[in-house]
Amino acid sequence: MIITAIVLSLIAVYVMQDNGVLTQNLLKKISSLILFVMACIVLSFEYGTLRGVFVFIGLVSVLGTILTLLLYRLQNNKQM
Amino acid sequence: MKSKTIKKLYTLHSWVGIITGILLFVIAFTGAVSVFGRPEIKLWANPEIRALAPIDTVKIEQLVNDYATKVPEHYKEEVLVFLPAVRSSTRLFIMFESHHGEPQEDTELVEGEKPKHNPPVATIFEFDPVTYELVSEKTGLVEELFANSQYDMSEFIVGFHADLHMGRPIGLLTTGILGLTMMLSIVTGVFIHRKILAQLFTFRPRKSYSLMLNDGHKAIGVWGLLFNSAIAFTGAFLGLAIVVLVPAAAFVSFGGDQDKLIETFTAVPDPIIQNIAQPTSIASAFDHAFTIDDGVKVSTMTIKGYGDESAMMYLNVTSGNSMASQTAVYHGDGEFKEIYGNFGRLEGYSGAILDVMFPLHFGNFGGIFVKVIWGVLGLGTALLPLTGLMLWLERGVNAANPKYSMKTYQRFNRLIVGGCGGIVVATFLLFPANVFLKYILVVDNVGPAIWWPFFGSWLFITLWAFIAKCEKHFAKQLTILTAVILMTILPIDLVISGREMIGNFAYGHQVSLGIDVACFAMGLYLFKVLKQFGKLKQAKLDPTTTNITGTIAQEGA
Repeated sequence: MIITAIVLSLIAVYVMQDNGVLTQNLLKKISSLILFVMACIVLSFEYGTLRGVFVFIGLVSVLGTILTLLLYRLQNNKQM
Repeated sequence: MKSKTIKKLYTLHSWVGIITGILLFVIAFTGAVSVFGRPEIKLWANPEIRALAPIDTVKIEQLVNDYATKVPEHYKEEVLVFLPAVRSSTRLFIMFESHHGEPQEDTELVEGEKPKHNPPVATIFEFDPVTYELVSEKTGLVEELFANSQYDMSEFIVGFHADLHMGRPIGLLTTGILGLTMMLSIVTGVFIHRKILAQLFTFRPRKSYSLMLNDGHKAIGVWGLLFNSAIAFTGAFLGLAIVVLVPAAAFVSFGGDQDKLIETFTAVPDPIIQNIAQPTSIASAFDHAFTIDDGVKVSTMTIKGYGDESAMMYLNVTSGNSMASQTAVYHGDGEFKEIYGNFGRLEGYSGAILDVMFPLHFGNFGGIFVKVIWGVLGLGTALLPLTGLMLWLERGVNAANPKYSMKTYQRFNRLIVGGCGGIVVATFLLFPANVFLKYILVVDNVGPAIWWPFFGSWLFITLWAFIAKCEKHFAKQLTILTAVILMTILPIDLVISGREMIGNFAYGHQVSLGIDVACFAMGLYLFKVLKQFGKLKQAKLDPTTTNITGTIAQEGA
C-alpha cells in the first residue's frame, strides 16, 4: 500500500512539470490531481484518515523537493 | 500587493532570518535527529535492550504483589509500572507513591487555613529487563527521585531540541518564540515569493552559486510549506504551552492554580476506596492492552486503589490506530472499560487537536516510514535558514554598494560555518561519545557526562571558525570530519554488539543496524558531494564572478 502511494505520488509530481516548469497542459494538471487524490486515499486506508492526510502531505513534500533538486540531472542538463 | 509592501516584507523576512537563522538551524537539525530519538537511538545507545523477550506480564504482577508488602500502606495510593525498553526507561520500574507524603501529626488549623500536605514520597524498585531481578531500590521525595534519573544520548538530544538544555522557562520560551518567528518567516516568505507556483520546479545549480542558493531556498521552502507550517505551529505550542499558555489559562479559569488546571484535564481520578480486598489483575489488563491494535505499544500502567475492589488501572497506549497516545482504562478485576486520548476529557475538537500536537511535531504516529519522511523534511527545515543566510551573505558581498564591510560579512560567515557546522559534528559525535563513556570509561549515568563532548566540540568548532585561515576550507574540513564520524558509527556498533547481532537478529538489532547503514551511507554521500563540488568549482570557475572568499581575499582580510 505504502509503495503504491509512493509510486502514485511520484508520478503525480513528475506529471506536474514540463521541462522543469509547472505544466500548462490542463490534461496533465487533472491527471496529476487524480493521482494525488488516489495516493491520499491509499494512505488514508493504510493509516486512517487523519494520519493518512498528514503522511500524504509529508510524502508529497519530500518527493517534490527531491524531484525538483534532481530534475536537472534527469533532463541531462539541457535546460540548465 | 504593492511593491513597497513587498519590499518591507522582504526586509522583515531577511532580518528575522539573520537574527534567528543559526539558532533555527540548530533547533531544526537536532529536531530531525530527535525524530529517531525514541526508540531508535535509545536502542542504538543501549545494546542490552535490543533483544528483549516479550514482556512477562504474569511476572510483573507477581513483582508488584511481592514488593507491595515491603512498602508502607500509604505508599500504595498509586502504583506505577514503567515497562522496559519503551520510551525513556531501559529497565522495569515499579513505583509505589504517596501523593500526600508521609503522614503528619494533627495540627490545629487556623480558621480559613487549608490543611497542608507533605510533598509526595515514593519507593522505586528497579529490575533487570531480562532476568527481572532487583537492581536497585530508592525511597525519597518524588521530586528528588526523578531529578537524579539516568539518561543517555537519546534523551540528551531530544531534551536539547526541546529546550536547548536551558530548562524552564528560558529554554522552552526560546524554542517557543523560535517557532513563532519561523511562522513569521513562512508567512512573509509566501508573500514575497510571488511566482510561487510557476517556479515550483525551478532549480539551476550550474548557472551560478547565488542562483543555486536562491532556487534551493525556494524549492525547499515551497514544497515543505505545509510541513514547515505544521512544525512551526506545533513547536511554538509545545514550547510556550507550559510557560505561557498554562499559566495564562490557570489565571483566567483557576485563580492561578496551574496544578489544579492540569489535574482537571489530564490526571486520572482517584477511586472511592471500598476497603474490600480484591487482587488487582495487572497481567490480564496488560495482556488485553497489547491486543487493542496491531503494533500497539504499552509504556506505563498507573494503578489507583491497588488491592481494593474499587481499583482502577490506566495504561498509556501508543502507535495503535490512533494518531495520539491514549489511555486505556481497566477495572481492578482486569475488565476493559474505555480508551480515550490524553485530552479526551476536553469538550469539542480542542482535546483532539491538543492530542495530535506532539505526534505531529515528532512524526511518531505511523512507524519508521513516517519517521524517515519527518527526518528528511526536518533536514529541509534546517537547510532553509542556512540557504537563506548564505543567500543574504552572497547578495551582500556581491552588491554594488555593500551595506557592511567585507570583514563584517566574513565574521558572520565564520559564525554560520562554526555554529551550524559545529552542531552537526557535535550531534553525530554523540554516537561514539556514548559508547566511549558507557564501555570504556564505564560511566554509570551517561547523560550528564555527554554534555562535555557535545558542548565542548560545538564551542571549540565555533571558536576555531573565527581563527581558521579560510572559512571555506574550514567548512570543507568540517564536512570531512562529519563524514568520518558518520562512517565510524557502523564499525563501532559492530564491535560492541556484532556477536549478539549474529546470534539473535531481533528487532532492536535491525533498528540499530538501520541507523548504522544510514549513517554510513550519509558519510559516503558527503564525500561524494565534496568531490563533485570540488570538480564543479574547478570547471565553472569564473574569474569575473566574485564570491565571499574572493572578495575578502581581494581586500586582504
